[in-house]
Amino acid sequence: MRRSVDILVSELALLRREQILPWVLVGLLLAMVFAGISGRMIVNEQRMVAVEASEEARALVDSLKVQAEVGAETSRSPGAVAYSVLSQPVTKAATPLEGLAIGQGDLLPDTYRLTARGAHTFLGRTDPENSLRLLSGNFDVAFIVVWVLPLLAIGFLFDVVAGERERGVLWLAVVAGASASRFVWHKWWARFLLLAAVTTVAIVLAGLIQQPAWTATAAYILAGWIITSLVYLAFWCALALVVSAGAGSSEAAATRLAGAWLAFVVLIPAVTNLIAGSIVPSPSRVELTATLREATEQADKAIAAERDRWFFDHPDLQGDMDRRAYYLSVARSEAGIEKIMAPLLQEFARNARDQQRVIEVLKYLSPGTLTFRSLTALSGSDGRLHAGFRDAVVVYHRAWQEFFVKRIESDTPLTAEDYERLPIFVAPQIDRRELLVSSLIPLLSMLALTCLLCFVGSRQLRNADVIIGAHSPGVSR
Amino acid sequence: MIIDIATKEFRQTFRDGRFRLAATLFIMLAAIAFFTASQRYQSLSAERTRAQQEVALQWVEQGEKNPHSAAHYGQYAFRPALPLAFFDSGVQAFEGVSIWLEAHKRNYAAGRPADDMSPLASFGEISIAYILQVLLPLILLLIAYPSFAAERESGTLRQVMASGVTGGQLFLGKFVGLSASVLLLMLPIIGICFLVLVSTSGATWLAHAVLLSVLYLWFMALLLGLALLVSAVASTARVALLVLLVIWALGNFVVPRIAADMGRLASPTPSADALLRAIENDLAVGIDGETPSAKIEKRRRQLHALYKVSTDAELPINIQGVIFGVQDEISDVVYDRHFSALEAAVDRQLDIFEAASILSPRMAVMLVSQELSGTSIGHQRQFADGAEAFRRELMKTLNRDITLNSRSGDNAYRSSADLWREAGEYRFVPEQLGASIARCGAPLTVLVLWSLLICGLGWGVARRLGTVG
Repeated sequence: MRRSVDILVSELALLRREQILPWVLVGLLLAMVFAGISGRMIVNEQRMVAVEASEEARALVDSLKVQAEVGAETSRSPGAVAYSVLSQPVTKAATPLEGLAIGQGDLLPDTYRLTARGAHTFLGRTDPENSLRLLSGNFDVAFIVVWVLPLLAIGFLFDVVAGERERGVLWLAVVAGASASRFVWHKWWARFLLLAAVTTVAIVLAGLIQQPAWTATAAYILAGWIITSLVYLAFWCALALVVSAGAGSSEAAATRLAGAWLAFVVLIPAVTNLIAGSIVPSPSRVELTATLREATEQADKAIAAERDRWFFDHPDLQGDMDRRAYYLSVARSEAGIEKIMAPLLQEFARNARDQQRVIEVLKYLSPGTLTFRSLTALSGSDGRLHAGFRDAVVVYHRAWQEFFVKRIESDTPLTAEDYERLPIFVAPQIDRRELLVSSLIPLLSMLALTCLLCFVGSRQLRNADVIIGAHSPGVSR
Repeated sequence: MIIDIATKEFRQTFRDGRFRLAATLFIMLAAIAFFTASQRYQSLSAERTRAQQEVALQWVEQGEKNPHSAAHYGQYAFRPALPLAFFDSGVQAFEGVSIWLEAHKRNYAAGRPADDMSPLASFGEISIAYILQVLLPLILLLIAYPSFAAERESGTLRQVMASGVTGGQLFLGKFVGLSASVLLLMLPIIGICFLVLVSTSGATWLAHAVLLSVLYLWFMALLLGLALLVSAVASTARVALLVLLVIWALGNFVVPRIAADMGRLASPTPSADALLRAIENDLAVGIDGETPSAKIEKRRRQLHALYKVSTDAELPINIQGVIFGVQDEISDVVYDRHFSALEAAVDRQLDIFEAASILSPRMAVMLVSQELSGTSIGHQRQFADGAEAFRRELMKTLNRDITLNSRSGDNAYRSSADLWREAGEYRFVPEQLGASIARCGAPLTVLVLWSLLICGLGWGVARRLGTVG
């Protein structure tokens, strides 16, 4: 044991002499820190928008309440408030380390501003964005772990056997009576531990930059991030060992490992995406638009006479109007449109869930996909939390609509107390138990795969040809 | 001599197991990309054409209505799928496909296909352009990295130079030989793409396709030059391979993401909510220092003076049509202001992206490829701007009808299908090729600079090869 530690220490001392190494490791640290800062700024920006919207809505409710107390007509009209004055922003619950993996947080909305009109009016709304940026993806910590870390592992270990063999070091070790296999393992461990240590420090730093509230959940998520990243790193290091041992030269090892990286990190995930999209094709947004049009038309025709009397959406143009009749017609129209749109919107939600299910199975095709899914799940940006949030918003929206429509139908004016009884939205939180269950199996699978690769590597290292090469001096065949 | 070297290099590459394996993978992926993309293009194209016809029919058959009711009912503009989208889908998945053209409001395109993509979409979509931009360069550097470095290690390079071959001849010979191998992979793909393009859209997009072919051949030549350069200066083949792999990974995966994030941090775009609230505030305040109601009142007084009357009822026209027009004038100015600011923010992000392409020629190629394929942000803007111009004309037509054909206070006024037909529908006409190329100035400059750099360095290295061997 002591001897092993000594060898490890001397190997680390040797690594210190490699001039490029500190720079690579510092580069990794800096990249992670930059990604952490960038992720935090993105999340902060989203949160600030949500907070502003929420404060503004609260101020509006307070002011309506005051107006209702003094009997101002608009604030007492449930129709005017529901359809023209008040909109309610609802926001997805923040997760402690969401800045580490932006995932689908960029595409799926964190905030909806709903009114008593149909759900289709807000569910499809997206932020105006630079589409080229969305196409390029984010430089977040998850990207560095999934894409860049394997490249570093390959760079550190592609020649761990092949290179030493080419330089004759393994032959010298055998001649000196040492175990070449042990020599390789120590070298492997030294490099893996160094990378693992830097990765851990970098993730902790990036995590600290997010300034989460240090609850048990935050600690659990950070631990999950570190363990998942280290197991993924171990997988690539083990793969590098096996490939390096099996390759005829360090060049061949590097080429094969580059191929493996391309396959596991680029091609298989992209093909998985393609397969998921083919198995569960997305419903058509164009069809959704056409259906909305048709639904609007049907609803309009049903109440055309009333609508024309007030000019579409311009009750203000009618001086002495029957507000109740107008808003009843709006409510009926909205209900008619919603009845037609609801199944289609449900189809989109169902499609997203089905795609998630397919991905959950197909993710085992590549450690890259597996790790990406685990990290985004830990950060709450894998789409599942968004789906839960969306479902909760749909339920809340029904309560919101009901609150006003009931009063419009019964012609009950809003009171100051009513403004205090407005439905309150409770955002679904990240479920630690569910997270544990969903991240444990991928983690164990990758760990098993890594152990298998280490086992194969050990077997290879017992083979003399692998250690000293078929053409080394003194080897009789 | 150059031909001899090129032939030897070509044969050697062709016999290389790595090349065969990579070529097989390339052909398989290209076939998958080609099949899925052309299927998707056909279904999208049919769907959008059908939807556009459907809403056009709904518009004409909406029945008798007050024109302003029809204005609120509005029209929809669907972005058609352009033929070269099957080659390079560009940013289309991240842009909305339809715009609601309604009274008083400028809406931005809604219904982004990306919103319904699987959570793995960030790993990239396999399109033919993606394969040519990302995978083919990898194959290219895998076959090119040992060209000089391995020969130097084995001592063959010294022998070759001793036989009287100049560095320039050797460099050029290897370049031609390896180019032939890469062309062998590229040309069938390009040929099939041309066939599909001509069979689906005739010759309309042929010039774009020819320029795309030139672009990708240029890109391959540039990368091949870079790979040979690295191989020629690297101490060993191993170093050459590692350097080229790092350049490839950085250029394709790291630099674009960093550039995109820097752009976002430097020039953020507003959220939909913030944009909407800012527009609503400005609409309430009005323009030219006048509130909307003051502006409407001023116009009313002008009309009363013009027609020498004192009440709306005495006017020979319906003042409500004029008021709608004034409201539209105000909203047009306000929307223009906010949409211009939004576009300016995106433009600043694009500037950063273009500037970063100096570190990654792939980014420059990506930008030019999207422009030539009709799938860039510029094309999306052209679609949206065209739709907005149409919306304004549509609203003017409907307001004019109210103004001229009814009297003030006549809310029961109805128009019929004749007016809806006269108003027409939005038909997107893609811009001319010249307009797309005009947006490619920066990325093309980057590619020219890279080419000059590689030619210059290649010339210097070739001269050095002659003396060092």
